[in-house]
Amino acid sequence: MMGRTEERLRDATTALGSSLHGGDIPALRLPEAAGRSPGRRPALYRRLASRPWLVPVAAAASVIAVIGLVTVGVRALPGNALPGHAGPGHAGPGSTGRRAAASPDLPRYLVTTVDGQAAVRATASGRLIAAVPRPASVYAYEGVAAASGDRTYFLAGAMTTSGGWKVAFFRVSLGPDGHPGPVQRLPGTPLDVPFPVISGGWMNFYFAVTPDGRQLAYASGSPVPYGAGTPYGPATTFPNTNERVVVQDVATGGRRTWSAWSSAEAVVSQLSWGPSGHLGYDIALAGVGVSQHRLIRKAGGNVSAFMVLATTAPGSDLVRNSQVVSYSSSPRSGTPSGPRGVISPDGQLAYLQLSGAQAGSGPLVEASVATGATVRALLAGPDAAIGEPMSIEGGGRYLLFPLPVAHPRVVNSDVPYVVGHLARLDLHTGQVTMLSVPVMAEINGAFDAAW
Amino acid sequence: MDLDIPWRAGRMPAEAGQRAGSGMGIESEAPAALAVTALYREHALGLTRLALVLVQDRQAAEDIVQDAFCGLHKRWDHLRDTDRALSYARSAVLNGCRSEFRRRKASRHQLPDVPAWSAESAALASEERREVLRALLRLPARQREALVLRYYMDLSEAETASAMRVSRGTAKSTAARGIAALRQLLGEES
Repeated sequence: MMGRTEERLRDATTALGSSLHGGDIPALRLPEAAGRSPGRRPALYRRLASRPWLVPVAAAASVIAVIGLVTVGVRALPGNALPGHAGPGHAGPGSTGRRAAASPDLPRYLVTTVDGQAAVRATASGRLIAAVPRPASVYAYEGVAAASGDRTYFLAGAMTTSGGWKVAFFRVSLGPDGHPGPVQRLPGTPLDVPFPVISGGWMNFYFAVTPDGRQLAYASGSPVPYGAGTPYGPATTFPNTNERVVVQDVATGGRRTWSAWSSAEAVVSQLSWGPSGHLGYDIALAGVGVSQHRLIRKAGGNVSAFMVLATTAPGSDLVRNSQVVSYSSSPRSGTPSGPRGVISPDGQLAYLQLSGAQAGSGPLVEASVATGATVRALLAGPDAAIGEPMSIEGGGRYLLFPLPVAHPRVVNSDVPYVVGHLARLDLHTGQVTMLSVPVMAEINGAFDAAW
Repeated sequence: MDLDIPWRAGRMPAEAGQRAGSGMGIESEAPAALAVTALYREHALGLTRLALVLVQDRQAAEDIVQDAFCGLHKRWDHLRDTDRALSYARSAVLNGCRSEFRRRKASRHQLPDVPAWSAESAALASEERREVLRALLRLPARQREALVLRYYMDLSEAETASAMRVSRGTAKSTAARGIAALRQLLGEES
């Protein structure tokens, strides 16, 4: 016969256990067979892969492949790690533990859009705080951007009208407890879109907001054949398209446009703001080359680049007004898979996933925006296979990104399935922490996340 | 100046679709990986819940279960009876939980700032339940395991003994002592 203590124990443990649901469980990440050596602990494997500077300390012959990748990054170093950033040999507090202690700088909240819904989640655990209300005119949220300060977020809302499909921007502020206040529509004519914005999650709605929340930037004009957090491949140039980047004033709705060369078949993705009107973006182009940090016309050349546009300078030529920070090129058909990344809030650094043998397989590095030189390698090996979108918080310490699972469980490719989980990278310590926020494919509308 | 702009939209081109397919599909894997992955799909939730109840730290619970299945994968070819793989995995989770407590003790670790409760269940979590869970954390590891296996997992005495790798009598007496200790911590009368 069960007594009161037993009953209370059963009740409490059942309640705690049932707080976990099937969707909360991350996919299994088994070590790659080729790189696995007998006797190496899986946890150690993941730790080494996510923090490559621990590899020399471990001095294990079984991690030669990882050391090789780290060496590539270190050789690219100009020899001067930036002030205020721990170098590979100076990992910060918490880096030797199983998980780094959360810093006071860590944003408390992040906002995601998935399946047309926007939601506030706790950064520490990924738990759902609250859904962001959707105005009656909006049938789906399609993207999110964050201003500095962990409280002000901007959302792209898709609307249907008698004339077709449109997109408008909205702003929402979070209270101290993370609950959203009223959703305010921003001034400005809604953007006409030629197709339903929701198209099975195969498109991304890239936009970014300045740290002070005064200007939005977005790209338009080209199909994007890949989705957030997925290894679908790089942005691919598309014939008869002409990419444009638009900056919109949040207060007035006024817009300014920069156009790429029409012959370049450009595709812009993943925008991010630095200070003083500097806008970082990924771009893929055809018929171009690179000379002295500038794009030039070059027949047969295919380039993927991370560039910075000076939006305060005069002119409307996207290519001429931008500086190449990092690029990869291919003389053959097909666009290289990287680099792709974001600019730091202080505008000094860029966090870039470099081109790899396969999309999303290159190392993640910190690079100087001024010179394009790699300052240090952050991730290499399997854990460097990160996806989009990347989002860096206003303090510049934490990078948010999707960490794809190695083998997604695809029961039926027509229904949503998990392709990864959001993770954060502490740029001071190199610690990667996976959050309990699944990244889905085959959802209605693209996945997006920001903090 | 306002502009009406054709937006990015469209279906995935065939070439990208092939890439997507090759990257997303389940490719041919070693039998061990397939078997362990299948076992994980079926039991990860239950085992993570078990670990969560034991260590009361969601991130740690997920890590423990991941490590348990990685260990199972590594030793798969040496298992004498793969039909008992779940039992091995459960024991590995218990071992992982013990290691977690040892790690906390060694580093004078305070319970992390990570809430074990999800948003919806936090509202349902009464102070009374929290009191029980706090008391559970104060029990010796073996008593805590025995109680969780018996009263949360609803395992029989034999199954509890098997998971703890102890005799049936030891499992029974450990659970009895655990209940007595818990009763005392909660200030209840026997």
